[in-house]
Amino acid sequence: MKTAFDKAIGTVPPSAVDVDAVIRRGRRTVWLRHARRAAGVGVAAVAVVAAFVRFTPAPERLDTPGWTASRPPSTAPSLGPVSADIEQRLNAAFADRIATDAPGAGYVNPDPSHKPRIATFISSYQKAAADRDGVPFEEHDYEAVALLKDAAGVSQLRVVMFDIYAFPYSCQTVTADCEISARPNGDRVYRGIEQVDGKKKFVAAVGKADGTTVEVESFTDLAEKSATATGLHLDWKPKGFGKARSTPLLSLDELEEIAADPRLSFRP
Amino acid sequence: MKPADEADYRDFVVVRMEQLRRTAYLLSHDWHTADDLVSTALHKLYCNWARARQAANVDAYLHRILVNSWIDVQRRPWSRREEVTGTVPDAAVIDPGGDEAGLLEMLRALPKGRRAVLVLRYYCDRSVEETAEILGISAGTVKSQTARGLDGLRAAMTGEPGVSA
Repeated sequence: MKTAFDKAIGTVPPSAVDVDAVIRRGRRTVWLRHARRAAGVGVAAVAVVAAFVRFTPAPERLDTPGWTASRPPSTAPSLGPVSADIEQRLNAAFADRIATDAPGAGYVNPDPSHKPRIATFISSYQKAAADRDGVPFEEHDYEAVALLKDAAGVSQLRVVMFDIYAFPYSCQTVTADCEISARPNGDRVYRGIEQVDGKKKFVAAVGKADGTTVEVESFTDLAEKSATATGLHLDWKPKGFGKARSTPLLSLDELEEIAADPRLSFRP
Repeated sequence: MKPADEADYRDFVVVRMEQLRRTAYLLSHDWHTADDLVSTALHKLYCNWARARQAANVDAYLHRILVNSWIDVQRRPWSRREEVTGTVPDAAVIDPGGDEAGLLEMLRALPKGRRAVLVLRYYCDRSVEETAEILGISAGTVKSQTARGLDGLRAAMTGEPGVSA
């Protein structure tokens, strides 16, 4: 059967796997892992020392201004591949893009009990998936949704960012028009016009050199059924905010430019 | 990683690259996806090369990473981008054309679990026990999935319902 499979596969296209690039990325990951581990040991050591100092009669130390057990080491390095302010940074970039690309649209506050939440990046997955395949591997997955309203109606704009060192888009799995291309700087681009429950959705995704993939979607429909069908997780009822737009708010070109924005990156 | 270890890793990867890409292609049915899967798997292998070399079978270890990477891809939001329809399509009858031309389509028509079992068993030459270890299922499940997978291939070729339940 193996021979039959090989015959069925036929001619194999040139490989896009760059072993040197894999090794470079692997070196960085290993370095970060070691650095993170070392930092953990360092922080633990500081905590132990601090606790010892706190509970040991040593008035001269306890009287030292500013010295507390909970104070982190001032020299603690930034160890993660993702900066600590990533949510604020991405929120600001996303809001700025909306202001630029959709100047006539206003935000719809989905939940009056909350503070105006117009676009929120949420870390939906950021952990070492060690149990899945026995290999510790950190991934990042951020998501933001903005509910926008203009004279033509209400629509959703959604941004998903993930970090899996792959550009996993293929026109084979999409039911509507789509194309795969590349930007002048080599970033890979996916553009698609998809139908979900008869509603139109524009999707653009850009795979960047630093490993970040940004997917931007614009919906015309607000129904929960549609949101569920597309994997969109909403913590509010998207009803009662007016009629939905007949066409997505932003064009594919605009979505691609948002996705390609260098500020929307884990490592800008 | 020491330079000598890195050289070992490179030698190991380069020799297996062609076979690995073909395996990824059989799983994903798309060369872009296959290459991305291979890149992801090789990156994970690099990060755990010291542990991998201690494994009884490094090839099985790599296959495990590859298959799990593929499973992870299936769970991602963009992999769920399929049209929802209330109409169940007719069962596909694939014309094998008298040679292996239809084999890939038949494989693609199988559920993902059975597809993975068949690829590991009959393309990667993994034993029942190794396949069970890679997929995290029992040997008995591998045997039944293999039988049903082969049955599914036959059903796709003939248009007749499979024998195995």
